[in-house]
Amino acid sequence: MIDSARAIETPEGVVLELRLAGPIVRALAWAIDTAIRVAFYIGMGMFLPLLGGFGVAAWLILMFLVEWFYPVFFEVLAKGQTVGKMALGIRVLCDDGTPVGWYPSTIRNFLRVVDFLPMLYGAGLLSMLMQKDFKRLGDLAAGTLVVYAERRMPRRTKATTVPEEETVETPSLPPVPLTLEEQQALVAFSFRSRELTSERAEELADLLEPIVGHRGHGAVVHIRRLASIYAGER
Amino acid sequence: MFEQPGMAIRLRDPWEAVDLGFILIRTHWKAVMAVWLTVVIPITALLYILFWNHLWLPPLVIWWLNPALDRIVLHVLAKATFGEVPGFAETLRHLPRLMRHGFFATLSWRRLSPQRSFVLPVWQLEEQPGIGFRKRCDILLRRGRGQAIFLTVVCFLFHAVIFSSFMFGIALLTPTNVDFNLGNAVFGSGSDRIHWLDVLLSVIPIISITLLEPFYVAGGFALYLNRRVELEGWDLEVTFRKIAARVSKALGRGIALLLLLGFLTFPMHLQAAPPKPDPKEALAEVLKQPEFQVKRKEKGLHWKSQPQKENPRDVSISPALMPFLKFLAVLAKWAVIGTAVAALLYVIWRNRQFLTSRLRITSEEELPETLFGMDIRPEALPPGLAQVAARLWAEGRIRAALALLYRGALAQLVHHHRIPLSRGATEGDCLRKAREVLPQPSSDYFGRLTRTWLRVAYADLAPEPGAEALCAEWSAHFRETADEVRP
Repeated sequence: MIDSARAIETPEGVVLELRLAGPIVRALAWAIDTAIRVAFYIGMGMFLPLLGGFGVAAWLILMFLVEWFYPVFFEVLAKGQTVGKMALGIRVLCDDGTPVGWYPSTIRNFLRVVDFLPMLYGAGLLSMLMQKDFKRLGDLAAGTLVVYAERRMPRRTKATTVPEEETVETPSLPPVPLTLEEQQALVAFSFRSRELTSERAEELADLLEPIVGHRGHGAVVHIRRLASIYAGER
Repeated sequence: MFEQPGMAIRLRDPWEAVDLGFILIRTHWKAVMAVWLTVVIPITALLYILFWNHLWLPPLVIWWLNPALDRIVLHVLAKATFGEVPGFAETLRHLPRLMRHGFFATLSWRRLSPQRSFVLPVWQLEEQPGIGFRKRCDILLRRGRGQAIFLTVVCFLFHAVIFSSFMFGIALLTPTNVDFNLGNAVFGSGSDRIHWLDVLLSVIPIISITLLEPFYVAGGFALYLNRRVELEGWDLEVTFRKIAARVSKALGRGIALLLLLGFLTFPMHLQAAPPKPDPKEALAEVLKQPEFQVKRKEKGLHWKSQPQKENPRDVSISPALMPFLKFLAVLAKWAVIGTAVAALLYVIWRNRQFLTSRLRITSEEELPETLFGMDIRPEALPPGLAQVAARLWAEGRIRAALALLYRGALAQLVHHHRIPLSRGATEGDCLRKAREVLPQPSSDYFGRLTRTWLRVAYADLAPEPGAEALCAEWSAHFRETADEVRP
């Protein structure tokens, strides 16, 4: 099965789904971070040299520190996210799904030098395109992954958008209790049924005839009613 | 169509969809490359034959032809994604059909469209003509347009990455004794230029296109697929089919069970449950997993069991000094031992009082004067104790009577029998100690007395019937200690 997500089971038996982030998003995140750093250098470069030789020295030392430790500090202290990664909604994690610490973060960021070779991350790009989990060389050495951060919960809206007249009647529950995933699929259908064409919605609803006992529009309405129950709206 | 798809159908964020596309193309890389190279190599060769004196032209033409070449990638990828990787010959035969829709549009005024990877499937897979195409794109591009544009931009920049990597790679690997200046070679003119490098500069973009273009197409294709998953509820269809299958099966089983219960009344074990694995084996299996293979690092100080090799530092001591040093060492050893012994003796001397006092437990002043808050000094007991107790009992002051008897008994145990009782001893302790020193009938009597006393004093119950005999029997077992102790 080809999938962009990787399931990891923790020793507690919890399955975590890590959605791997690929080269395009990561390149954009890198571009944002680089722009921030360069803007910072230029800003400092305009003022610090006014202090004379000391200022220039301070500017160079500052540049050195920021260039090497900017990503490390952000990744460790901001839940695996630099500013660019925050903007793109991705984060760094260890291979087993745990948060990244000083040691792996330092390794993966110091090895940017290797990934940068021969020029502009040529090695890193090739590695990301070929490697199973979109890892650049630094990720391979440090045992880290870049994944999409968990989605924020959307503001609670009336989940099922059931028209008033449809909510009047309480539907009969399915003859066999549904699992959580199955209930979620019904709620998702209810969410998205406006976006589907009505023919397609009815086609999908017909698949559930063993549960709802209707076909066509009746089935769509029935599923929406069920969904509003599963979503806890009545 | 969805029974056994090659990829997991979920509704993804557009960025995730792009990444899925990258994984797709990686999976089907060989099939795509086979056709791609078969088409691109002859074209490239032809271009170089025609334009050998204008080396900048072939890569430009190939780049401009990308939308046409993309169709090959898309064809293989689309078929492979839904189960059947198309054969090499079959794809070549299909080539003319692939180019039918929107061929000139994609190569002319739509060539520079930043979302071309996203809309290519609409041309090629949906074969939508004119107006239908535009309407369809309007709907599809409502989500993922930004990602499609960034995909184009970033892929273009990736070409730059690969190009510059090649050039700097060459510069890095050039031996130092070769006169070669990258800047002059690339940006110079006339005599500075090296011909083989010009050829390389011209070929590298074509290699770069070969490497990246399939990824680009796959990214756009995945964006398109994801949008259709969203618009047509493919993921819902997969789940709904599963629900329907499960529910029908469960319902079928339910009916079968009803039939069984209805018609078969004799026990039936024909269909035994599938054999469950032995839990111990299952547990051992689980414990073999890497999560449970715990390795632990421990740091600590230990005596080395084996002596270290000869210390290589003992070179500077002259042999003449050795006897003297040995004598010093022995002296030091005895000094240490002597000091330790002296210290021990001093400590014992300092604590002699404590030690000797521990030994004299039964001395006169150590005897407790009270137990459980009761005065057991012999002087405090009235003479003629048994008679006094009997009188108290007759007056109904049973508690007082028992207290007197018990106190008398304790006084005798402590002062006459010298049983070692500390101030914190309990009634139980007293009874146990008393059993060691008293003859059998007396200790039985004391046991009864204790029980009755506990019952009356602590439980606040009436004494057992016949308990008043305790007063009469007291004199048989205990004497008035006051008389003998009193001078």
